[in-house]
Amino acid sequence: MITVYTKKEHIEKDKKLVQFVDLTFNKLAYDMKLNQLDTEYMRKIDGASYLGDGKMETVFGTTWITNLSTGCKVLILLNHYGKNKDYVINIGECGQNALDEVFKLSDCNILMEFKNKPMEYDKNKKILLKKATTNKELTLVEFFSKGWK
Amino acid sequence: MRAKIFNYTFNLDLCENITMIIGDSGVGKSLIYEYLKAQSFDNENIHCYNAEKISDLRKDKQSFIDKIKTHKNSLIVIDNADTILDLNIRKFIGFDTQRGNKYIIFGRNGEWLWVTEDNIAELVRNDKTKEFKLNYLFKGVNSL
Repeated sequence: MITVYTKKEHIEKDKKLVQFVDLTFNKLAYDMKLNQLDTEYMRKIDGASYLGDGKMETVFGTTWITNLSTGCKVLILLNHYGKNKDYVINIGECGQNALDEVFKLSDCNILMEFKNKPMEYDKNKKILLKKATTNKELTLVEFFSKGWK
Repeated sequence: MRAKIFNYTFNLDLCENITMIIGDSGVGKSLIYEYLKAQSFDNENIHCYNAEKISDLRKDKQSFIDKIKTHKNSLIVIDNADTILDLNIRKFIGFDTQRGNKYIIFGRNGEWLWVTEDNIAELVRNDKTKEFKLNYLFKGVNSL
């Protein structure tokens, strides 16, 4: 289940917040083994084809994967670290297209500090909303309406 | 400002003191930020901030808000805004109307920036006409 934090202060002390996604991704990218889902995200979100060895072909030409959009970097980090419950990944920089993909995931911890609703989502999908002292299971439609904050 | 960014043209048409640029991931927001940052190299009136810059400021024990307060008659460009702008900086920018600054903010959260449909624009990229365009929300969201 996706666990959603809406405030940094609610994140448990033993968890590591990946707040600056660009910087974290760029640090890890040089030694990252991209898989099929990563390259699918690159194609879907950035229209980029992965060429191997950290390079990709985009509409602007050939460049390094460190130039991917932040939304795409979020998805790749979630793909690699999302199932590790020690990490909480900030999705605040995701555009609507990346956000749609985030809420298709089955299991990850995310920080969403302001309300940014995906364009398409499974309204009945359940998420766990974490607050300072309480946890609440909500459907996505409840979360994006009355459950927010 | 009309710019050529690789093989794309971009008309930077700023309406208000603050222009918040939104758009899908991958459309080219950070590319435009990088273009403006490159222009700031020999233009002392353009100041650019993103997550990397903020990280450098922190290492140098400098405060982001103190840095921003030094700018006058400048174009201040902020990428990763939803992550790097805290409440104090948002309030400062929101009330910064007397110093001649213009802000371009790449983000989606308009809290305390007093942004309305007049100064929120969606960045759209047309790969056929090789063009970036800002579609202001008050004009309705059009495709290119």
